[in-house]
Amino acid sequence: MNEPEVRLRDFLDAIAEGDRSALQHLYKRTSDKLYGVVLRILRKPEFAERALSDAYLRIWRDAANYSPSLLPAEAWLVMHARRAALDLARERGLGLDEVAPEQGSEAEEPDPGREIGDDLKHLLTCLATLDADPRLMLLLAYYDGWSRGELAIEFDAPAPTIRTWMLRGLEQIREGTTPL
Amino acid sequence: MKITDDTDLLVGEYVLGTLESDERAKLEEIAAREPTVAAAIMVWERRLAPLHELIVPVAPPDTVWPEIEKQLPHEDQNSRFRDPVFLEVVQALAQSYKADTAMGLVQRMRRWRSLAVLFGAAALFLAAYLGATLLRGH
Repeated sequence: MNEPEVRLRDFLDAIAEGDRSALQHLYKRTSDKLYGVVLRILRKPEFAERALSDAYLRIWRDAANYSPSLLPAEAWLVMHARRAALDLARERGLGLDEVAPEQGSEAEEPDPGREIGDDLKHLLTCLATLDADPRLMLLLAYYDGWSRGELAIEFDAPAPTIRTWMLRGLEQIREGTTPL
Repeated sequence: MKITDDTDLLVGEYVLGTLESDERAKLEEIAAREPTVAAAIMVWERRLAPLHELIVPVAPPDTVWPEIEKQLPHEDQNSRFRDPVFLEVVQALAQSYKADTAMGLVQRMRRWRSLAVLFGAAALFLAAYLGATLLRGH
């Protein structure tokens, strides 16, 4: 287990005890990452900022329930950021137009040039067995938060068809990955 | 409750993020009362988590943290440690009794969140102190 992961767990332990300064330390270390997550999904800074606040308040409330045996700390933080962003996106019914990248938007494409871990290599190998369209749909759903309805419009296919493709993709991932 | 294959894939859709608003809410409601569904969510989170490695970090504006801080519960404001009378009593005790022990207790008590625990401990502390003084007096 790497050093940052240990530090994140320590912060989460302290936050679970109600330590506000630990939340601030955690924010300093992780907010760039989580803002990258929510900005990619929501595109507009005003929405992304709101989702980021919401994410850390969720983290504050849920820290006592964090269990390292289920999920690495960073992944757990990303989970809360994605939930906050997706809830806001769905609640507002942000359509494709509304979340279309603004001119000069800072939300960058996921960067395939980053150094990646074995788990990700394994998952990408698994995704590589899918057809190009379903694979792209899965990635758009994960990184950009596109709903079934939005994917249906973009890929010009009925929503149930989209769902069938997604389920097939998820089955593939389930077969190819053995968590724990 | 053992979850079916279909439910497990629905959980996968939830974690991936393709469900619509009402479907998300429904699944969260079920997960809140069905530990097996909640567990399935975490398994899917773990399966998809490696994807986050590719996310490009972006620095948020400086205005966000103060907003978060504002929304945190202000537990200290309700605390007896903000109550001047209580503080005065503790300080008086600290001076007249064993200074370091009393301040040590204040330090430790700052860490306790529950007011019930706090009041209980303060009462015990005062009772013990008063008891000790009274005994010494006689």
